[in-house]
Order: sequence, then structure tokens, then C-alpha cells
Amino acid sequence: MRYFLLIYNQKTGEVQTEEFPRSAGRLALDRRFELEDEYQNDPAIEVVLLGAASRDDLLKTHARYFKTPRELVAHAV
Amino acid sequence: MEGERDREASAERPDAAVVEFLTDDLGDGDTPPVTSLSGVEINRLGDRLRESDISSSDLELLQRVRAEHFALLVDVQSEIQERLPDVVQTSRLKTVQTIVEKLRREPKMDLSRMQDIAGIRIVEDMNRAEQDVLASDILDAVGGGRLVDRRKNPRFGYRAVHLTVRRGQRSVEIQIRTSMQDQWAQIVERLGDTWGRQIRYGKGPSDSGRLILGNSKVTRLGLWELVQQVAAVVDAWEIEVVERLGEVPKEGEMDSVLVSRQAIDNVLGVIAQALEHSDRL
Repeated sequence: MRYFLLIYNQKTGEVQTEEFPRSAGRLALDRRFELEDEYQNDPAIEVVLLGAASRDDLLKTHARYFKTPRELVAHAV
Repeated sequence: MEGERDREASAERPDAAVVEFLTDDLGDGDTPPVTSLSGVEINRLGDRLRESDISSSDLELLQRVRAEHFALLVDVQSEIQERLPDVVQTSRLKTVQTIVEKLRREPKMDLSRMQDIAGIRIVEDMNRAEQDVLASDILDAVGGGRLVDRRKNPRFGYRAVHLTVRRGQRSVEIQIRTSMQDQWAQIVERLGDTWGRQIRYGKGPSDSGRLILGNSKVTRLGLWELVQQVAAVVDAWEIEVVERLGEVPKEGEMDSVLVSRQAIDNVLGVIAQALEHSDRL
């Protein structure tokens, strides 16, 4: 299990990722709080902390952060 | 009723694992001890968040509540992984903004009873009968919980099986979705980034008459109606598949399954065409 901290721009779809090992859960959470504070005045920015075994699992369960609407629909067809 | 609620909430205190997590030494050796909030304090915090702008002291309290939920999330995710190692699961903690929005959307909700501050999502390529089995296995793995079947009672097209695991003041909501249920939900969530999260709660897109970028014919509302159609045809197809499970198909019966599947592809095809020249709506 690892932690993936995403800084996601809802308007542009851009996403930056920071990774933390399982043992650093508390550190990842504190970093999230810090980033939430940094971006609190920008409503387009969503700071998300996700715990998953791998990046592939993340793509499977939270595709929204990594694909455009067009790509999501194309994948579903 | 208020008194009963408060007594119930006060009776539940944090367990040792939470306190250990909250006081986890990050390396500086000076992390102060943390005392968890009572149910009464959490509910009062919720009332203040609902009624006014968030103060720095309330933000600090809310972060403590979120951290306590995060600790439970770690535990529950580990329990599932231990018993069901092949299950694909991702955990997440609700944002400050979505917690506040939910409190304002549901004025009677106590913050201490909000079930989805912490969440786990499980997505598998499975049919609905297998989804039922997986839900049962997960309940066994985490020692029980409450099951809500959102396939029978969908929320504005959203279908899944939800489990709520509650321990003391904290809950984790486990969303179990088939691949198709998830693909639909992901499309809606992504559209919500541009059109507003209200589309998840039965309201149409913002600026609904606006044309989709790069498309001179389809409006946001038109596209949204197509997305709603997808939810309906996915539902029909998933039911059809399960009803045919274990049966030797009679002449013509498999045709109805294929027709249902074709209906999904037809609507998705129209949506794909509408979005052909647009990544940003």
C-alpha cells in the first residue's frame, strides 16, 4: 500500500502527484493539510490523498483524475 | 432527542489505535499528545461549519476529526487487504469543502454521524451476483457493517453497493462498484468538475444551454440527458445478465442481452461523437 497525494486542477484536468510509502501515512496526511491551506483560495484546485497498492489501482478506481471526459467515454465504449 | 444524541455521542471515546496514530512521531520527537473530540464537540463544530465561514480554530478541529477518520481508514483497508488480497481498493478522505457542502445541503445531519468522511472504493469487473458475494466477503473481513443497495435505490443514476463500517465516533463508507457502474460514475464526477457538483444530486449542469466546446449542435443539457440514458441502459443490461446466469439460453433469449449491451454502446457512441473535438467541454 502506498499514498498518492494529488493536486488536481478541476478546470484544466492537470494533476501533480507526490508519493509516500505506507509507513509515512501521517506525514502524507500532514502534507495534504499543508497543501489544502496553500490552495484554499483557489476553488479549481482539489487536493486529494488516496491510498492504493499501486498507481494502476489508482487509475482503475479514480480514473476521473487522470482522463478527460472524452477519454472516459471512449474507455467505456 | 438532543440530549439522547449527545449522551450517545459522549459515550464513545477514541480507541488506543487512534491516539497512537494521532501522536505518531514524525521525526522531530516533539509531537504533543492529542485528545480526541467527543461526539458533542464534533456536532457543535458541524453546526458552526454549517452556519458561518470556517475559522482557523474550527479548521484545526476539523483536521483532527479528519485525521481520526484517516486512522480508521488505514485499519479497515488493511483488514480488507489481509482477507481479500486480490481486491483492488483505494482509500480517500473527504475534502474540507465537500464536508462543509454536505452539512449545508443536509441541515439535519450531525457531523459525528456523517458516514463518508472516510471512504474506500472497490471496482471489479464482475456481474451483480458477484458484487453481492464480494459485499458479503468484505463485511466478514471487517467484522460487519450496514449495507445500502444503491442498485435498487439509485441516486440520480448512481448505482453501487455501499457498506458503512462504524467504530466509535468514526465511520468508513466502502463503495463497491462493477466496472460499468464505476465508468458511469467517473464520467459524471468528471463532468461535475466543469458543470458543478450539483449534477450528482439531481440538478442539471450549470449554464445548461451552452454548447459543448467544439460542437455546434449539442448543449450541456443535451449531453447530460444522454449520460442519464446510459445509467438506465447499464442498469437494464446488468439485470439482464444476472437473470440469465446459470441458465441454458433458450432460442432468442441471449439476443435480449446483446440488445441491452448494444443500447449502451449506442448511447456512449453518441456521447463520444459529441465530445470528439473537445477535451474541456
